[in-house]
Amino acid sequence: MSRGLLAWAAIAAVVAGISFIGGRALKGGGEAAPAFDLSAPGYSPADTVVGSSLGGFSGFGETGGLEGEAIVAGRVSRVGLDSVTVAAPGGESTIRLTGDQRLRRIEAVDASALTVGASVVVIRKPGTDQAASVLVTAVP
Amino acid sequence: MISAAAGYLTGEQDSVLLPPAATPAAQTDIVRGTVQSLEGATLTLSTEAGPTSVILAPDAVLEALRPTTLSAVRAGDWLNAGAVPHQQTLLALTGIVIIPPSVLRTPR
Repeated sequence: MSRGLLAWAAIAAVVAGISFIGGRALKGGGEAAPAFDLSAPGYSPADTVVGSSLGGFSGFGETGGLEGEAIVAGRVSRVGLDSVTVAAPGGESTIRLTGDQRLRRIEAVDASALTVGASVVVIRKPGTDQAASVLVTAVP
Repeated sequence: MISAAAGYLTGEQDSVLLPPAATPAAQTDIVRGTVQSLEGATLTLSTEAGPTSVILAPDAVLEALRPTTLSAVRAGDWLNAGAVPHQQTLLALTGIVIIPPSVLRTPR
């Protein structure tokens, strides 16, 4: 092999090496991607601040109450003949009652409300068998 | 060009710092059931998992979800309206729960 050919081969090897290193250096850091909380509820309006009672109950499924989850919440600002308007951080919402919805009220009760057959939801104190609060959801 | 491409393809991607995954809120220990008995402070329930007893703490808060009417709703009460997924309307309102200020914890 002539010395000239060897020189060209050496130059080609150096160029190839530099190109290889340059190619690796060009590899970007990738795009930052958001992290998702896969255990989050499927629907959760940003402006809804769900109220809870002294016992910690909202009245709906998130705290073991009625079917469904609270999607509209706020302080009642007006009561009409067939509607209620609430003020929430995102603005006012008017809910028209069609008669299909169940209207309930959370009230303080004493132990006499815990009658046999009553449906209840109990929130236990963490790590104990003590009930911190009890909500009677239906009576027989 | 070939070596540059080979270098690019075999390069290691820099690690990207992502925001930490949201930490789930502390799980509330909730039991649903039907009252079987209340003897002293011991409340026995029948639940899907079988009979369960809990002790009513001295400071336990007892509340009831009772039917009411629109005429009993007052300005200043808190309202939670609940819904379930619905095929045609996305969400169907199933109920409204009023929390009067006297038993409202949050928001204040």
